[in-house]
Amino acid sequence: MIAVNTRILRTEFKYFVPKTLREALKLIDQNGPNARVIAGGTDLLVQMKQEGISPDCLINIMTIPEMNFIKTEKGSLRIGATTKWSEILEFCSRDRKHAALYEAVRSLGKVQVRHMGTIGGNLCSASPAADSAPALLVYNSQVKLVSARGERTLPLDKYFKGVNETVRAAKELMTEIRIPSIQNGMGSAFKKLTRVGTDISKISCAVAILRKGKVCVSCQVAMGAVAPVPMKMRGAQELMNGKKVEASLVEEMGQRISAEIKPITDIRSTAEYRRQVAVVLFKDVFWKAWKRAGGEE
Amino acid sequence: MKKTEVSFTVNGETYEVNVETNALLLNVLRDDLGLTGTKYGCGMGQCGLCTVLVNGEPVLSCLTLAVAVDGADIVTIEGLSKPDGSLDPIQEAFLDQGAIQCGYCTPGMVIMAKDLLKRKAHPSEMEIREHIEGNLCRCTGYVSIVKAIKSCRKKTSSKAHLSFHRKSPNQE
Amino acid sequence: MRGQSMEKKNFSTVGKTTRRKDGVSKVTGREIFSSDVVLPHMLYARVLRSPYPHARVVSISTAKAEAMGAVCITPADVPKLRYNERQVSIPEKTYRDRTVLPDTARHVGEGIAAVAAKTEALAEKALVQIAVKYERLSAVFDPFEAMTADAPTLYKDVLLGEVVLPINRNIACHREVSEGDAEKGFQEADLIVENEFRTGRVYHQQMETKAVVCRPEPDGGITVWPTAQSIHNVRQLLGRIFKIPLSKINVHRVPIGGSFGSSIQMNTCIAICVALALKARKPVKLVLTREEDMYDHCKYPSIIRLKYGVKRDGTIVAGEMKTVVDIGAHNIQAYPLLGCMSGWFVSLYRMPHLRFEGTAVYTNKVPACAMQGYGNPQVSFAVESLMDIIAEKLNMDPIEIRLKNYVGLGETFWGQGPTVRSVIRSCGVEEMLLKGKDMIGWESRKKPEEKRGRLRRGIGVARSFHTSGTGAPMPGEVIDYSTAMVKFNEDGSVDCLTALMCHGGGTLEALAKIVSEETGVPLSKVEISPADTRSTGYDVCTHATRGVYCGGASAQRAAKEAKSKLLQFASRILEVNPDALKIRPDEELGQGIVYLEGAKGKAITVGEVAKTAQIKSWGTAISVVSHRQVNCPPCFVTNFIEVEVDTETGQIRFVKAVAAVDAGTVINPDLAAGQLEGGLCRGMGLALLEDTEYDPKSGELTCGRNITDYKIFTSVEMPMTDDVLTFFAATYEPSGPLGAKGIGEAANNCTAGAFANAVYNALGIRFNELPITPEKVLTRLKEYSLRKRGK
Repeated sequence: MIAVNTRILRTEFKYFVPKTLREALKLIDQNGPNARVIAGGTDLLVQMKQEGISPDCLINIMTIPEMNFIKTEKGSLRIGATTKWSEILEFCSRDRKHAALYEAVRSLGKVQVRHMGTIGGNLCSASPAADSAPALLVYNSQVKLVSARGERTLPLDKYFKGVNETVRAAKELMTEIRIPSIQNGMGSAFKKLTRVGTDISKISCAVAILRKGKVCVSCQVAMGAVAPVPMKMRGAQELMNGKKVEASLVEEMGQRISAEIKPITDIRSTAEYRRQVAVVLFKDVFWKAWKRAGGEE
Repeated sequence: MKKTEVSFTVNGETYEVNVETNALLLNVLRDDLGLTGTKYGCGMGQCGLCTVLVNGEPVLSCLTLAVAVDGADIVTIEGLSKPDGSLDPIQEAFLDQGAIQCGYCTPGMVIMAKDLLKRKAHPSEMEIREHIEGNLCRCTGYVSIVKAIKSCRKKTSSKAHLSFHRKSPNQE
Repeated sequence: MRGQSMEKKNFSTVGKTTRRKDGVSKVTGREIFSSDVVLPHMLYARVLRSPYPHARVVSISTAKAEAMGAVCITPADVPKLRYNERQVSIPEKTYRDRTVLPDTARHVGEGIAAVAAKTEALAEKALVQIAVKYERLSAVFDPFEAMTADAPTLYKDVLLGEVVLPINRNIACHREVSEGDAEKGFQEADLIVENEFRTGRVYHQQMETKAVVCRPEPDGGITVWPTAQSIHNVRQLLGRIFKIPLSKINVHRVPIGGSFGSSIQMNTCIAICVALALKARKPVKLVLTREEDMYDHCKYPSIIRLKYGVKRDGTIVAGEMKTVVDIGAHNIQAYPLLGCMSGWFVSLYRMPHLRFEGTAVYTNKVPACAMQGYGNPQVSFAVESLMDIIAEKLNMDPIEIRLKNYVGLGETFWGQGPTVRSVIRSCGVEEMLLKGKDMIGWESRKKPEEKRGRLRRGIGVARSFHTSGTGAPMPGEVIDYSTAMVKFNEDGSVDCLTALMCHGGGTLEALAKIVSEETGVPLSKVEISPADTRSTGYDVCTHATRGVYCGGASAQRAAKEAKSKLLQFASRILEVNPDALKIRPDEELGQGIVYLEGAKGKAITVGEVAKTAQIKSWGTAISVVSHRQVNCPPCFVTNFIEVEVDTETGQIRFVKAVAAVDAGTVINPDLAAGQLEGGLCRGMGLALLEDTEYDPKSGELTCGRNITDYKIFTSVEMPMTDDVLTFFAATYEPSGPLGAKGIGEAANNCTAGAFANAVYNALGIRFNELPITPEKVLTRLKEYSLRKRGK
């Protein structure tokens, strides 16, 4: 680490600024495995400075208008991959339907990073602690991957593979994130624990609930920074689906989550701590989402 | 390495510079343009010292490629005071509230304060604190800086349109 | 109150909030820090650093790098003189263990070669081309392990002054101090309380990484723009290392982007940069990257075993402190540190019988150096924690036991160690405790066992002090004096020139105010001149909270003498006895007015006097003074801290603070309050967050990946601005300039102790090891509830 110089970029590279998606895909296709797509740069440049990642070609996709959008279509939300967090935040604060996403984005990096980083970039970096991931997971979001040869859309929870690893092929470009429509009676929330204000999560949690009176019709739970990938808590979810909500059941879910996660000890926290606070973090987030689902907040 | 010509405006002046593709905006501002008010603190987007406004948005110049701001309108700390040399009200407030100690974080803080007040005339104290939470200061404990920004709020309070603010730990 | 002589004075500018003179350049980005200095034909330097914690450099090949056009230096190219980068102690108490580039690396990150090239990118490329062959040596990271017989040794010997000093079992130095008869004292005690306390290896994280620019001059000399707290010490050391007459070395005072002690010494990058510049025969700039800076220095961590013997009524009869300090790979100032730690311990509470034992140990870690408080936050954390433990055992109020035992007015104070003793002549301890108590709502403070629920609040108090400089009636082991020049200009304005440094707290601002007050010239017409070593007399350094008290006193004396010369000139014009003349400021005229009290017409502006003196060739009213303070008054400090602990997550929220200082006359009220606020934030960091750990295999910092993984608190962790209350005790220090004492380091000395006491008050759990992280809180809460259930 001591051989690093964060003041400059050591790597030399060719640089392209495609104007259309087609052009971008062509450049990706032509430039071989050592080409990298750059969007906001908040992850990639950090990796290039610190982790010796040295692409020989950077393709900047921030100048492609067709990749930057937020659209609602029959209730579902389509977000272009190069849409900046600041734009998503502004949309969410007006739209007010995606509380978990709103809270995740607000907690994500500092203000400056929200004006630089993009939703697609965050998902492509695929950090286990990526804050947008748990929120997008509980909405059952999908991602669209496009290459010069075709395109595919897949659920986000089939997308992550490991630490900084996804099913996206080197020549595929993420172009869009889709969030299915938010039904009436649905509420969501997100929370993370950190060392200080702006920081990578020690642990994060998102919950989305479809509520009918005192019954939880369905409950989606996702946790971040507790396993190699941001993960859905399927076992715990099943405990709650279709049940009348009681504190004991929520506690049981929390315990189940604590058992299901696979946290490690790293510089930010310990495995033991993460396992322990998973319960209370989940409960806090659950009740917040529950209240929102019932229109109580 | 082959150089690329990039043109942008900084503090209202147009510049055409030849840069290498891997040149960072921070170093181009400091070394090529001599605008040393923007500081290096960590190079990793952790401290906020290198914050500048690009097309009206606060960004970290240590993580911005110079080639990526081709055609942009950039404002640095040197561009906040008026052409006649008089200070921006937020700069005056920093002076009056004793919000400056060593002064190394000051440019980034002032830029962030300016950005916030442009977006919101009457931010709450919590909103002020959250807006500058990515800008580290080792001297002041932030108190006088927050007070300086508070003192610049417009007198009339505008209604907050955000219903769920993130709060500091435990503050629910 | 124990009573004090409070001299009321009517000041025109002292004690009033004014805009700092360097404010405009700082708020407009025009202030030039070392890292901003640019010279024609300047080269950029990079340092090759050891990836190993302990390794002998077998060979270095720079051929490839040189072929790229880079200038390279290796241990073979630099002077071999062993030096100590800190020049504050007298030579015979200075331990010297390092060279410009060593042939053995003793910690990861130690510089062993360097390059300079036309651009930083080229320097970086050249750096990678340097080939080094290392012989790896076994390393040691634990101070206790380091003291065992078969531990790897860092040094065979070092120099103490000019004497070769063998190093045994990695013990860098050891100090013992005792007074009275500790054994007897403990026998007399009704209660003996003992505990061990640990504090972390905090990184200074001053916002500007260390930097330097050096220009070789045609006459064989050098000009240097360094990050430094003392330009004169930098010059002297460079002169000795590179054998250049001091008259050919000019070191500029450059604004510093925060220090907190990190540049009390001549930073090692300075000597490397000078060596490069001399070889390149071109100006060279070297600015550390953040990761390099993190591997350059840290706070002294401490392990303190503390014991007090007390009577049933709370009177302390005996005390004993044993400390082991893990100083890392170099002994920068461990010997005076141990002296100070004994002094902090002895001067907090009265003890007829005491014993202190301190050991500083080398390990293969980043070298520790002074950081705000110089051992005092560590000692105060231990002492103030133990005070609360004793109070609880005796069923006393924590404030009562403090009031009963504190060292105050008329008593001997030796904060800076056994050789720096003086008598306390001003003291606001009682005022701060009693007023602070009301402000925090002490009366409504409940006991831990009365608290319920998930979120539990707690209030804690702690007090401390710091010295104001290291002056004393007798010369000691520490050098302490300042030099200042004051002169009246021909338009009635005043220049003040001193090598003293401002770290941001407003030291030079204070000097301007003192000079304005003393000369009678309005503050708007008093300026602090840019300084360098050629134009200024020696000044030890801005450190030890001495800027205002010591540096200010020298400026005051120079102002007084210059003024007396001016009045001589005025007396010739006005035909009045000079001793009868006074000067008062006239803000509207922007002039000092020389006048004879009660005599109309016998008045003239300072400008007219100075101009007349020039035209008539009488001379300039100017004075240069070297001044040593013969006192070392404590600036007392008190913190009340309220926290809220989330018992489910272990997170601690900082709710409210009352911070008070007894700084004598407060010169810059807003900046003094700012120091208290900053002290709270850094103190909270020491208490709750900051530490650096090492990977025992690689010897690397586990947080070495930049400040991504070394966190300091941000704006959202501080309490709301209305809940950060600060105040100043109403005292007047007779030996200080216009009654002033220091404040700087005092600001954070008791904060960690107050946090630990507040957390105890919230949970009933005592944390003796800092930082108190959520992880530790949760672990302890679990043990605690298991233990309770077990009962």
